[in-house]
Amino acid sequence: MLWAALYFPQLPLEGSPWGHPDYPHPAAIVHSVGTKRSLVAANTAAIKLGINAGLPLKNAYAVAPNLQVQEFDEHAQAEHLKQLTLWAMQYSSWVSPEAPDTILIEAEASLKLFGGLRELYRRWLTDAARQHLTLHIGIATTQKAAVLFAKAGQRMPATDTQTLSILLNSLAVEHLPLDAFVFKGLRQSGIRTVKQLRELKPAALTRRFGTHITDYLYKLDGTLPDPRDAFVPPETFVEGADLPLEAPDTGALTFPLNRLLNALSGYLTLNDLGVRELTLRLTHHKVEESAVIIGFLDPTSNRTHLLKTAVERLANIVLPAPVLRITLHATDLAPIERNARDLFQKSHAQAHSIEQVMDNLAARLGREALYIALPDDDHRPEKAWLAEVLKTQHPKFQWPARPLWLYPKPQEANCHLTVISAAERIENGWWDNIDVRRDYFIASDPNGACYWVYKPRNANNRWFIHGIFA
Amino acid sequence: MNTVALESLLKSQVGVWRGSDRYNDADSVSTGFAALDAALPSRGWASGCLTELLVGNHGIGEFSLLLPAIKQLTNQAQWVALIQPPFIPYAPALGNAGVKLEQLLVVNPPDDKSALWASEQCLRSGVFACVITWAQRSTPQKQRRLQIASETGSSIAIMYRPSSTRSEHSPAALRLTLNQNPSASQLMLDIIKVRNGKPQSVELGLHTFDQPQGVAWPGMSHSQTSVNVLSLHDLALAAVMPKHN
Repeated sequence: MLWAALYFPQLPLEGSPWGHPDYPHPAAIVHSVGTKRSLVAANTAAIKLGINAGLPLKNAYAVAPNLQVQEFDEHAQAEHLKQLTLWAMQYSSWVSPEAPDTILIEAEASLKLFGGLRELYRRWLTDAARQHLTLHIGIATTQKAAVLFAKAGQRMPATDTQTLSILLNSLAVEHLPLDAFVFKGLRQSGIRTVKQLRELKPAALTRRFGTHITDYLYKLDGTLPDPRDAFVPPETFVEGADLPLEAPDTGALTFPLNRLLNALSGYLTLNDLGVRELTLRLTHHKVEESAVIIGFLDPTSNRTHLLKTAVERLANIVLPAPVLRITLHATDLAPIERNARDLFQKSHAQAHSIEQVMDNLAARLGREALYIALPDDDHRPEKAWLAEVLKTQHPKFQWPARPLWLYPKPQEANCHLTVISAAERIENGWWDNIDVRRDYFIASDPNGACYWVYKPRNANNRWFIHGIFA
Repeated sequence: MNTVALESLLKSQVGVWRGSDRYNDADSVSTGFAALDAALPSRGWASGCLTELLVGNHGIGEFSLLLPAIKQLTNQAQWVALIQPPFIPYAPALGNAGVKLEQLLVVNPPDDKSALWASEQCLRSGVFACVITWAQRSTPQKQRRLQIASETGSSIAIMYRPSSTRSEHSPAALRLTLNQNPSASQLMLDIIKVRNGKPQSVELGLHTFDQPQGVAWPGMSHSQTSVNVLSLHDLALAAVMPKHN
């Protein structure tokens, strides 16, 4: 077994736009224990001023009076970690979140599929960068060691027991997740490195500090087994994100949406599913919650496509009130069809499919703005075409001369036109209230443009233009 | 020395590079009109280029001009988009012309801004072989974006604009004005700008539209067949073929 620990040190901050490396103002997340308030995370701008995690809030204010501060929200972070776990599930079937800020992944089974450890590493880092997350990765043959390496910044992968032992020994004792009492005892005994600690007699260590520490050391090097349950993904995908700052417009929703869609994309890849419909519920301040439905013609799990379509859809919406929380619900899932590519396809092989382009257009213009006009078996001009979206079968007809352009509504003719064809009588439709009894002609105007005009049979002196021969 | 000999001499020289060749190799689709193909350096509607058709009024054969190309592309299972057409593209007429309607997407955006956006999206995607857009208002910057998008997706970009925009600057690779000559029943195409070619005029007799339309072009039939030419007002008074079903 080979374990990878993905440690997100800045996770408390990176749930909000403050965590973005380009955010100009110093900001930090504060955690209160009793009356003591100290920073758990600081953003790039704050770190530049010398404000680091662990600093008491008082001291931080002394350095930067304009520091923006938000209370640490344990629940929000747990939610975020769960979403990251869903995202990580596309890389392994065995993933488990390790609260508060780490994910454990069993990597050995995935090495072959993804082309080796280096490739997996690269993918994790690029995925994290895309979500603006700081990521440290530790790799070892035991879970505890992987987590320890990730947190200690030990980047060398320990792929066998020997390397693991050497790497463990080189670590300073401060990196171990032990309590202050143990640290104090170790310091007083002159124990500085993990090597020294492991050389001590286990019985003596237990007597002094309890079984807890020996247990940990044994699990660290793999002497003791360390069983743990894998995360079981839920049956349905409903994930939410609190917005740390109220979003006044839909542009501000992109950031949390990106995070939810990353989780969704992992969830879909894992289950070999695609999404056909997403419901985005927006929780507002004081106003009742609203919902946005995002449809896809073809089931898709492509993160970029999901995000692009969703953002385009949101751009059209005027919010009734600022948004406090968004919830993404995958309301219609379908198995995804992996279509085989033609080996000799033309080189400008489409990066997009027609469905993707149509989704993208429909997201901004509305589904009803797109159609494919097909002739229908009806002689009434208004009824002789059908607006369809992606229907492949249609009957073939041959019609007499028909104009390329049809008016949405016939217009009464008020210019001088010259009839240049014989009449074509169209009489139909008494059965469904669109009764048509007309004589159609082709007529041209002085400029030479040709129109399709008709005269209703019951109104002799009125002429209507119904189309143009363009 | 005659030009043919000069051409072949220049072609035989490996070291000679001529600017005019640059765009001639581009993929193009025949317009279906030999006279027009001959006048265009790309020998047809070129992909990766923006073409502007400047039209004064509707009903002069301005859309029939594209039918052969649309027919050819759709029948090769390529997609063609019509964005913001001024009227309903009438399926029976398109069907008569042999256009495979399943490959023809119609987009009706609410305004010119959305139309140009949709056009750019379609061009950039590379899914559409040809994107035909109607817009009243645009700017050189927006036209430039379309030109670049068509290069990215190597699609044919065609845009109908009012003839009043003739004097505006445009980055389009090809600009044509379309006018009808009513007496001669001809569509007159003036190439006012063409990359690597000569501005010139092409006249297409409207009878050349019969083939692409699948039925006779209405404007010409009166000169050959003996249909009475009446003014509408006269005709309105006459009883029109009383017929009872």
